[in-house]
Amino acid sequence: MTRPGAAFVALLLMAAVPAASQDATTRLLGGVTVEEIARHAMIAPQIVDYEGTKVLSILRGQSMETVWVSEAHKRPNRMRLEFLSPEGVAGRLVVDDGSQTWQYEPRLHLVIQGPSMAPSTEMAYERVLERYTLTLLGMEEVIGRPTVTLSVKPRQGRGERRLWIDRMTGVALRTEERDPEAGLAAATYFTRISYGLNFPDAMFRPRIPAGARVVVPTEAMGPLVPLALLRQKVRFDLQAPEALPGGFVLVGGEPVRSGPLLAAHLYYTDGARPVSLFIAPTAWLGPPGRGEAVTALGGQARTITWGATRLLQWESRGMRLTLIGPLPLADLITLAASISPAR
Amino acid sequence: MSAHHRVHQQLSAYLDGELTPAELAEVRDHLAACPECASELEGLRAIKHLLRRLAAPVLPADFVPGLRARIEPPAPRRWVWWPRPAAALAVAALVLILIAVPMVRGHLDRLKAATVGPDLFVRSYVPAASADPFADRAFLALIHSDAGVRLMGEDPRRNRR
Repeated sequence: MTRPGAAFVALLLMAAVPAASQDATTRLLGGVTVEEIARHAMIAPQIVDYEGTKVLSILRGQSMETVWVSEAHKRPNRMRLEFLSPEGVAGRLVVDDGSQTWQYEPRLHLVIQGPSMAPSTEMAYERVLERYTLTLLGMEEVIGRPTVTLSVKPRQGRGERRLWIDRMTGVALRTEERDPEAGLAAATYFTRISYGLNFPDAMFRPRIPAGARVVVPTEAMGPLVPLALLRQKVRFDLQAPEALPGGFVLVGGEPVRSGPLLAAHLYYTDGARPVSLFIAPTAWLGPPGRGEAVTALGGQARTITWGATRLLQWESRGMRLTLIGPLPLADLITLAASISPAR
Repeated sequence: MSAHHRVHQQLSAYLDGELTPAELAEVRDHLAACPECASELEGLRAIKHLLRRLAAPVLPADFVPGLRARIEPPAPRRWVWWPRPAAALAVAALVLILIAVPMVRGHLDRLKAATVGPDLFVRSYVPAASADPFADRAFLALIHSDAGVRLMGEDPRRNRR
């Protein structure tokens, strides 16, 4: 066979193998594609109610922490969490009614109010799926229920999320987050789950215990606004890029206020992963106290880890900058390096 | 008290005609028998005669207005714009407090903000991160609620007392 002929056959084989693999996967799933399984998982919160007991194992610094929580969900976006263990969080109650979150701390007899953590029900699923590479890893049972195991990797960037998706309901019964730096950084799994419909509304309404103090530590500052408008809202010279390396683009920003502290929050996404950048004048702040020190960006920076989500904080030209996102530390530093020289 | 002493104290009232008939009869009987009281009575009568002959004093022209001024309630005091030293000190202290308290409070707030800064940002990050459709909400709620406790100045993993 001539060289051009061999190259043609090789190209045919390279094209045919993924197609054959996709067909096999579809057959394995009974005619359902991996994308449809993933879409099912994304819309599951809008079509099913459930309650169960979940275990969270999260990397914090150099050690793993295990947290037990009783989780209830009412479609489309209401949530009730009662933390069971460890002792420090036992009894903590979080109720999200889709517009506000109430957190009751029994140790402090305190209710902390904040914005909802409910995802938008108007999500562009197709656009999200375009940003991920989805791979079927297998099918297995989790707590006696058949699941499909998917690997979800961002097309740009590193890291991987594995989901064990209940074939009947689309709920992720088990998840794992892996990144190249920490390996398995976080894992969650239900030890039991019950599905139902029409859970009582009262479960998802906040009830302030008698005598409890209610505090709102951060002020809700309204919807995200363009960078130019955000500059008018904060009382300092705000310089921030419209885009970051890796395909992250600025969605919008909001002022963040707590007491006298006013910071700018800039929200970026690569279509799948959220990254937040906070900027505040250093003169308004004291020295950073928490986190591990890392040498980066030509000086000292600090980092805090929660599973695969990391915070990186550094200073540049009189400003303290904080990046938070589900990225490896090296990737966060790359983003930070692209921000600081522009300042 | 003897009859002599009692009549002696009633001589002035006798001259002014202020005694009851019984007292009058007793005084007349005693005067007829007591030269000392009769002599005292004549002395009193002479003095009263002299007082009646004295001219009535003329009141000064400002006596009535002055008297009225003393009887009627005092008019409200006019505001004195130049404060007394104690009042001036009190006002100065109040102004100082009004200026100093916000400054000190603001400084303390900033010190507090300095220690809670990352947690404030985590609280704002989590609602934005919930846009990730594959994110675990219980996990997000855990770091969100931990940050809320830290913002209150407490360690979220401190065991209960």
